[in-house]
Amino acid sequence: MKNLKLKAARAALDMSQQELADKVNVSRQTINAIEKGDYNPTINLCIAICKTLNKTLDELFWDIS
Amino acid sequence: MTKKEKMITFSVLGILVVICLLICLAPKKLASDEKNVPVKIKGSVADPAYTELSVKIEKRGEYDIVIDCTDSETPKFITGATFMRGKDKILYTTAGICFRDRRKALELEPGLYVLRIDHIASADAFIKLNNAQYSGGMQDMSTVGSPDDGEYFMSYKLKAVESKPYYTFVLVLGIVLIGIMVSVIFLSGSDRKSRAEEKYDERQTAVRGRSYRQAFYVLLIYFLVLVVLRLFNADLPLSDWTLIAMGLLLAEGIQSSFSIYNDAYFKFRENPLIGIQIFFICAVILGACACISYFGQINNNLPNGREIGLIYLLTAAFSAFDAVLLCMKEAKNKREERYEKP
Repeated sequence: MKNLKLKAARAALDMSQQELADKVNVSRQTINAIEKGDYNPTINLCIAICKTLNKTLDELFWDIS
Repeated sequence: MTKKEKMITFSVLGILVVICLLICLAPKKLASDEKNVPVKIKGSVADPAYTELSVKIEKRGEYDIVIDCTDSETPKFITGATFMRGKDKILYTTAGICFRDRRKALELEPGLYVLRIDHIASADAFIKLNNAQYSGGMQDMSTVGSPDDGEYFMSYKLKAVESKPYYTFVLVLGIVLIGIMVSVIFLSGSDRKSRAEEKYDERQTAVRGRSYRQAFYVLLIYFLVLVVLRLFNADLPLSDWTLIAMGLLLAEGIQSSFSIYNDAYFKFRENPLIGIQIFFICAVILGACACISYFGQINNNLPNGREIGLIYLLTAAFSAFDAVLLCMKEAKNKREERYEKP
């Protein structure tokens, strides 16, 4: 399932996939795979992404539906 | 017991089990003979003209006849080997300048078997012997020259071992398994995780792990199929070592292709363009090598040129495939990057 919340949070900060990837020390393809729902990141990576985007884990990774 | 200790213990036990299995399955040497013979060459005549080795077979069955013909320096004369029942019934012939571990599976009755080794020092002698015993074409005649006069110290060995045609594949599979378990032992003791994290991110590490697993399963299945084919005495068109090399290439090809397809071949800060260039250059060079080997064989300049050419060709094909795959992935990534720019 696509992670549109992550994509929206990144776009809100005017950040490209590459910029986010550089900040959390992964490849751009990994960020792309997370956004497309092809890869489930570890909790460590989730936390790093949340800190970079100033969001909580619930806001980005908790699926309400 | 910690996870690391468990892995080391299982690996050590695994290595011992594999070694025991390899020893138990190894073909047994049932009879042998060996001789060291000084051969004098003077005016294209060898002295002695031939020498003989013999083995006594006690039980009826299928045996691998293994012939070694070696010297510290390559003698320039041809050695023709004729394996006979008694002294007259020819069962197998082979020829070469120097050969090691040349083997032939034969169904043997109990009795005395003789290996006659002819020292062939001129083209005339070769043609005479070739027509009489080798049915022609056993050895390329253009390599038979007039050897320099001198004394050559030849070492001949004849062995009759239990025939197990599948053993080569079992041996290589065992070596691969031992290699994996030795790697596990060494990597368990080292600070591997932190080093791997510097190279690949967590998704790439997971993908690479999956690719290695798939390559190993493919190799395992490939070798098991070959073992079964050998057990049923299937006539395989290529030599065992060529088939083994092809299996290893296939596994490596699967590993690299799977990693490239999932963007896990290069470390995330590495430039894949260098990889594309390297793969293309490899493909071109190996393709050229394949042509040289193939046409060399046609002109009788290289031994087993077709099989060597096939290995080169296969490696070139995998390199070209990986290069094309990398180009496609790189183009896709560039497109995605352009699209994703805010």
